[in-house]
Amino acid sequence: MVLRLYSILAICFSISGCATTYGTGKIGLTGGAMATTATPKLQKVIFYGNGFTSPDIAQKYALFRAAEYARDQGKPWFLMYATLTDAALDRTTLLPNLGSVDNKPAAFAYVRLLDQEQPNATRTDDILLLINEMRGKSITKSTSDN
Amino acid sequence: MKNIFPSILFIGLFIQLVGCTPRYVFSPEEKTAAVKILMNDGQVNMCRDGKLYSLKIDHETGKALIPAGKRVALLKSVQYSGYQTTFSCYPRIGFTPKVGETYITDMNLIGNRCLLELVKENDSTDSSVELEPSLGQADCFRR
Repeated sequence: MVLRLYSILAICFSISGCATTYGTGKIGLTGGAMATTATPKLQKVIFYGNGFTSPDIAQKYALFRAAEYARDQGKPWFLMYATLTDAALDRTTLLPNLGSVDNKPAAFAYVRLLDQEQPNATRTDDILLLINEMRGKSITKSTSDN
Repeated sequence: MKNIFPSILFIGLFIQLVGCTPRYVFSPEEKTAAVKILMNDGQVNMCRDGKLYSLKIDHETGKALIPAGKRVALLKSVQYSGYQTTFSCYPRIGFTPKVGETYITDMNLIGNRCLLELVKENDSTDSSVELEPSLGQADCFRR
């Protein structure tokens, strides 16, 4: 009986021990936003949608996450890069990049925070206002107060 | 019939042991570089001298040490299964790590395709990354 149990356990380990899954818990039924520090000057923001999320909404929510990150850091402007290579070449984008698996969109961008306006920079408060309109409530903390 | 279960046990353990990719073992004097892995699951493999290795990632820094001075390839395996859908891709890149340098790698979906990238960390640039000149084909398995 014990050997039978060990056998089943061994087979389970052999099947699952080396398995690699893509973004476990990230592209799921509910989706969600997250941010990762790429370098001290670059933050990756990403939004995972579900099957009911349209690609443009996923891009918008990733943009929202970028603005919230800038607000949290007290920065009035930010730049976005579509890829790490673009960041190395200083090629900016105005919208997060977009991909999809199984009709579930994922939007992401590498964000660089700025103290002053630069060409192609996004104003943090402009995006926060969009979030405000969407949520229907006031922004309690604004970078313009800093 | 009773004796079949010990056999299954040993077969299972054998598959478990040989199925996993081994870690690269550094020699005592071997020079190293570091690679920061941004992918969600943090899993990426390395090929060097035609052999495949897994990387030991420091979960606090997200970085793994790699041997420097000789061309290596980074390989990513992505599998996704949804309702009546399977998706997989196996992007790979090759480069020659320099001693003491830190590289950043990330894999993203662009449209329906996988893009594995690698740049070099350089705090003196505006975005703190720069292009890696040795970046190219992952030709590790061609000998």
